[in-house]
Amino acid sequence: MQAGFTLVELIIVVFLVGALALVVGNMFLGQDKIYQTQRMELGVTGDARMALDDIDAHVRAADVLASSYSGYTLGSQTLILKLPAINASGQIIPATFDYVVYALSGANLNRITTANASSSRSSGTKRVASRISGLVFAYDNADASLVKYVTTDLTTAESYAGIPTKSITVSSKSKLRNN
Amino acid sequence: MEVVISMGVLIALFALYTAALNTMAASKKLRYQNLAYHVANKKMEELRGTAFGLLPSSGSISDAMLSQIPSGDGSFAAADYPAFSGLKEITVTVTWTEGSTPKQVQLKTLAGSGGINP
Repeated sequence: MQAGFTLVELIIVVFLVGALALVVGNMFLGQDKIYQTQRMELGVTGDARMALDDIDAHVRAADVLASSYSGYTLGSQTLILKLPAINASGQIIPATFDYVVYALSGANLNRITTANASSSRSSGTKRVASRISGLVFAYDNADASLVKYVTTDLTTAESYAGIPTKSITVSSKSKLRNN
Repeated sequence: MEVVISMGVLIALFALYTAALNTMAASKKLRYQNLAYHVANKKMEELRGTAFGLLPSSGSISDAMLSQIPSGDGSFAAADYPAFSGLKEITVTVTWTEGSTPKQVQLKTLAGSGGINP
């Protein structure tokens, strides 16, 4: 008698391998979908929180808003803050100021810091968040020098093929220091 | 032997899959907590900026962010601080539900009649 497989055995094996591949394949695709959904969810919530906290922290440390600075103009999508410069111990240096500008560049929100030479802050541009799909700064006074409160409405969103768009809208209202 | 190994691989895959599903619930919780905290923080900032004499004793919070939280609701209270005159304790509470479980974020601070907003 010759060793080998019968047709029935072969069909059963092919069926089993096919069924297994289907199950494993589905699990793999499902896993990828979960991973992408999670990545988007954490990305949009993390970005929104980071951006809002960063803006709030700087607004609270600012003395006053500037109507324009270094080519930027204060508006609904651009925030210009004038902060007292601080030394290495975190103490205020009298009559010396740093400027912080929040401005959109596509879907990225950048913080552009221009520090006075004697300040311990570092000059440069930092990307505070990406995935920005909506940003509105509102002020309680049309005159930049009289603004006490800055309200920030921020929406982050991300899309991925085959997965519903993830987005979150957060807002805050921060008061400038000594107001 | 092969059957045992195959079963082991399948069970491991299934375990990974369910673990990944659990993280979905965790990130949802994080989203709701994040939103609730921002609602409470925004209200607290507003109350901190209110003159001491004009602080309302209580009220509800109206904020568009609440609509992103299931059964999201918020309230605040400013009550006299026990044993101290000229001090009020401000409490801001945001509640929501996760499934049938009630959740809340609560922020508290003290406001003084001689404080930053006398």
